[in-house]
Amino acid sequence: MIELHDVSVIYSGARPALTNISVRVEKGEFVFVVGSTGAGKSTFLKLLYREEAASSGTVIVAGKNLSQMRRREVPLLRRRMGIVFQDFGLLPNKTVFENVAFALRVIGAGRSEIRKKVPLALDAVGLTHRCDAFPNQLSGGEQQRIAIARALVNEPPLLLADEPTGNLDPETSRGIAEILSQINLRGTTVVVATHDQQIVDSLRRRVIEFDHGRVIRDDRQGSYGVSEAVVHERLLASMARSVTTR
Amino acid sequence: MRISSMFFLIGESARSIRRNGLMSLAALSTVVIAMTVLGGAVFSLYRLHQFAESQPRQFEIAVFMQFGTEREKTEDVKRRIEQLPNIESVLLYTKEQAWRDNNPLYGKAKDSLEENPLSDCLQVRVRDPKDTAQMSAVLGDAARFPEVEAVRDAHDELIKLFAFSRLVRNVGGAAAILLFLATAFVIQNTLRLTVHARRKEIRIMQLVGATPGFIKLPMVLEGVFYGTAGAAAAAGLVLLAARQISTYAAQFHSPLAMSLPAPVDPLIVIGALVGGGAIVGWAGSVLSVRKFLRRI
Repeated sequence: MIELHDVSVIYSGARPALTNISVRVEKGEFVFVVGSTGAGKSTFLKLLYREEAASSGTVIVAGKNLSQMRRREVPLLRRRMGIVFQDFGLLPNKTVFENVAFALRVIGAGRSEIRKKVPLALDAVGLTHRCDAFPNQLSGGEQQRIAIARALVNEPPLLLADEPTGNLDPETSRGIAEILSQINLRGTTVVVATHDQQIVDSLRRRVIEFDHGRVIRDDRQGSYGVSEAVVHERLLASMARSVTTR
Repeated sequence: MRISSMFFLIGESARSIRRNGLMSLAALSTVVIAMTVLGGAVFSLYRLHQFAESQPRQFEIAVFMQFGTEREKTEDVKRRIEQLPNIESVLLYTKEQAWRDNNPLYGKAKDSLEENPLSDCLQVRVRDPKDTAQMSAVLGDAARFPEVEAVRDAHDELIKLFAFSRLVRNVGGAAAILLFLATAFVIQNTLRLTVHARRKEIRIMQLVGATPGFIKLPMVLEGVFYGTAGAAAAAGLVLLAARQISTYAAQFHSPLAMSLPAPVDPLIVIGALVGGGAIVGWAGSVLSVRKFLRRI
């Protein structure tokens, strides 16, 4: 589903945002991308929806080489993925129904298709009853669920979420994590960049950790932080390397 | 683009105008004010230009026949003048009529006269007033028109009027262009504000896979709406003001008011302003939204 080969992103006059990243995510996987602020998580996601272009290396998403993609093809790529943000990104002057339907409108879906698919997407996030409300009438958790419903309504094979629980309380975050997990169980590949230790540790999925633009960890069933045993093991390995060098 | 998408986008424009009520009102009133100033100024300049252009046409060349020239000969001269190129009209102002018209001027002096001391006069109007001097020379040519005693034209006044007309045309034209640019700038800035207020919306549209055309169309339709609706209101205000001023000026029965050229067809004013408003609205919104679309 996603392949990055030796990818670097360098902004002019600044240190590299990503350096020689190689990552492969299979279809149907659930991946958490973790790391401190400025580690490169968001840049990694932006590469996937072609908000950023790689300075070098190859980025392949759903069989498309994004490094060679032309500007006019970008909307077509984005229709094949759902994107969820920390700030929800809902259109404030549209109702819940219209917000979710909007993703179908842009691909030219007809009225009957919209009437069929929007309730299904709202049902998947448990918000069918709020379809006439405006975003400012909803709680943060509800708004994020609407954003997820909008990302899902096109039934995309890939869902990207950038800090989806960043503005939510722990209990609501658990609910969002549960919804993302359910979506993944239906076969959608899910990539979540997060700082939220609780949801990473509760789901125990693949964790890719970034630090200063590099991948420093890729655990199949990881947790947010590294266990003390692993820290100890790494420290010993590092000391051994420094002794050998001398 | 599908028909359903087209209807959706038109509906989107209408919904956006309605839901962004205050911003829509601000944009619309700015367009109305800017277009009223532009329309009013251009309309006034055009009327002044029309007036300046029409004035030289009021002037005639007076061709006085020699004293005692028979009426038949005068009629013959009239026919010959009418056959000359660039002649608009030739009117015979008989000496009898001139005597009657000017009788009060002569006072008691007329009692001592045994007969009418005046001669027939031909009032000649040329098609292009600029040819007046040349035509006067032709009519005063004794070899060609031996029956003519003297030719009079308002040469000095005409030169001044032509200079005034040129001034109105050049200064008015430059002022109209500058005003149009200023109006376009003000409207474009206003539309940029409306697009700027929706930058988040544009961003979201891009992220859900909307094409630039899909994003652009409702905003361009919105810009065209502000331009045309504002200009239509401005045209109404300009025409109303023009009618009020004409009605007011007509009360005075002054020669100046009487010599005003025929009023401009209201449809031309409406068409020009609404057309201009639509173009400015379209161009302003296209330029404004393009800036945000570059971010893909």
